[in-house]
Amino acid sequence: MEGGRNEVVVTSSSSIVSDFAAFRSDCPLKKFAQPHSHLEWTYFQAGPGDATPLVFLHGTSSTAAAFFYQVQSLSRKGYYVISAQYPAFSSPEEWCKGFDRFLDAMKCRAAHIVGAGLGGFLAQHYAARYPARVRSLVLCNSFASTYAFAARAGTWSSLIPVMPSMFLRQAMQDTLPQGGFMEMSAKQAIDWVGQQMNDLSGEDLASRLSLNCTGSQVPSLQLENRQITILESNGETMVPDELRRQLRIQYGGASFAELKSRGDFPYLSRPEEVTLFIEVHMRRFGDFIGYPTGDTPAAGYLEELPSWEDPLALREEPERRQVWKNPFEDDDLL
Amino acid sequence: MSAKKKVLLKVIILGDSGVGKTSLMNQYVNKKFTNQYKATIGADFLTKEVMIDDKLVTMQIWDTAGQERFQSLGVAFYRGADCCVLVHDLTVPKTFESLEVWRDEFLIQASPRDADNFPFVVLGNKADLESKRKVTAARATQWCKSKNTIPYHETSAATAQNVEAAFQEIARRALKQEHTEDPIYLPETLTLNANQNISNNRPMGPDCAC
Repeated sequence: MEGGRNEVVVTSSSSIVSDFAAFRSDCPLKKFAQPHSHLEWTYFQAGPGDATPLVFLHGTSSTAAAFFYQVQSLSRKGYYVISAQYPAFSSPEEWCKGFDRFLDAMKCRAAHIVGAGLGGFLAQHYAARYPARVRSLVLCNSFASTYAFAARAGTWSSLIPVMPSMFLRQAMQDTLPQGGFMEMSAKQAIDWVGQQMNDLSGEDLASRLSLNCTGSQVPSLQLENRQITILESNGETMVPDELRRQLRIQYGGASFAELKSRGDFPYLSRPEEVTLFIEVHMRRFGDFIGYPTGDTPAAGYLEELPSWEDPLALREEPERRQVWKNPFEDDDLL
Repeated sequence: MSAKKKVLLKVIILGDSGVGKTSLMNQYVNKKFTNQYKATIGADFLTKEVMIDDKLVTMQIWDTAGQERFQSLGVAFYRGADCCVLVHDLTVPKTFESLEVWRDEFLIQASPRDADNFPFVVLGNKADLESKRKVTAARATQWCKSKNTIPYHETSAATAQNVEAAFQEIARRALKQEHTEDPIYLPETLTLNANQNISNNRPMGPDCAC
């Protein structure tokens, strides 16, 4: 529908384009070629490399660039952030092996993973197979099973490998929401994702579409539900309701973060809100940074950071509150 | 706006440390209370679905650390709030006196479109400790009146006294605010090419998620 796109009157001179240009000027796109294969990962990397990284994984139609706002803002807050773009794999199992190599190459023992759509699905697969390497998960408009997609695609999915890339690109473009009422920022995000898609090879497109449309269910995770945050946009997204509901049921005790706004790509259309939820998520694991020096609480304390349901929360923690400085602090209460 | 959009109300609880913000939230959402004090780190949120006048809405209640610097989460934390709950401990006058500062700070950070009419609700917490009360209801009510008549409730997170009712009022006020805040929506795209009908047209291929 590219032709149709150009004829549409309401296009937006997007701020995403200029923001991305600014981002690219000080953050280079790096590459990692997987040994003994033709597979090449690309990624953006920012922040202090000695911390446990926060690894972002994009969805079917996006690239490593999709999370540039988060890479920018979270690294400024002191987090070590990597946004990875995966090459073409044939199955979730193969993908997991590849991602494991990628983490090796990044020299990180473990990671917090933020996955959007297909990226979240693959992250869950990885967490199920390599539990020691996954500290926590943030699943953004994601799903735990592809059976609903497989059913919709029907026999179409078996033809993916033999389709010309032009056709695959068109198919991918067509999956982006194009009609309906939406906020300007959501529309800009879709347009931008559509443009980024042009950088993907036919092989990438085929791999992603078939990962997405081949029926597969995430095995059960060893992660506790409190280590998971489900982040969802308001209203309809490209993920069918049944899969969204299923994800929420599967991870019943997970923190459920709903965004007020609509749109499939909130990390582009509402970057600050998404960053806020990720930051709050990270604080639950003691990885919270961004305090002015002197205010940083003792590390030992942070490891015991509770979630709401955590019985540990009821434990007494005497005398450590003093760490915080607040102009409105009431000393009598401490 | 399509009817499919869910109503999500963002409520922010502010107040000095130790007044019972987290306890109030936990009492309301989880029906739990503990006497042991534990400082909140940063901020966290809980969600609860509630019926307001036959309408199902989701409340996303944000609890902040009373001891934290305001700016550490940035303005994104305050942005999009539909109601701000100011909590004081009615046995500690100083926490009541701070309300002014918390209110001002909220208005600066959130910069709501119509600051004068932005909904606040004041909760005087620890109402079960009547014998230790230092802030009279009259004093609190008077302050609330001077701030464009903020509703005032006395609650106890420990005994759950008045908690449900107070949050009902919070939800109702938030809902009213939410209606005034609809962002600008783009209409259906206009297709000039008559051969193509773009809206909701997914001619082939699977609906894949991205």
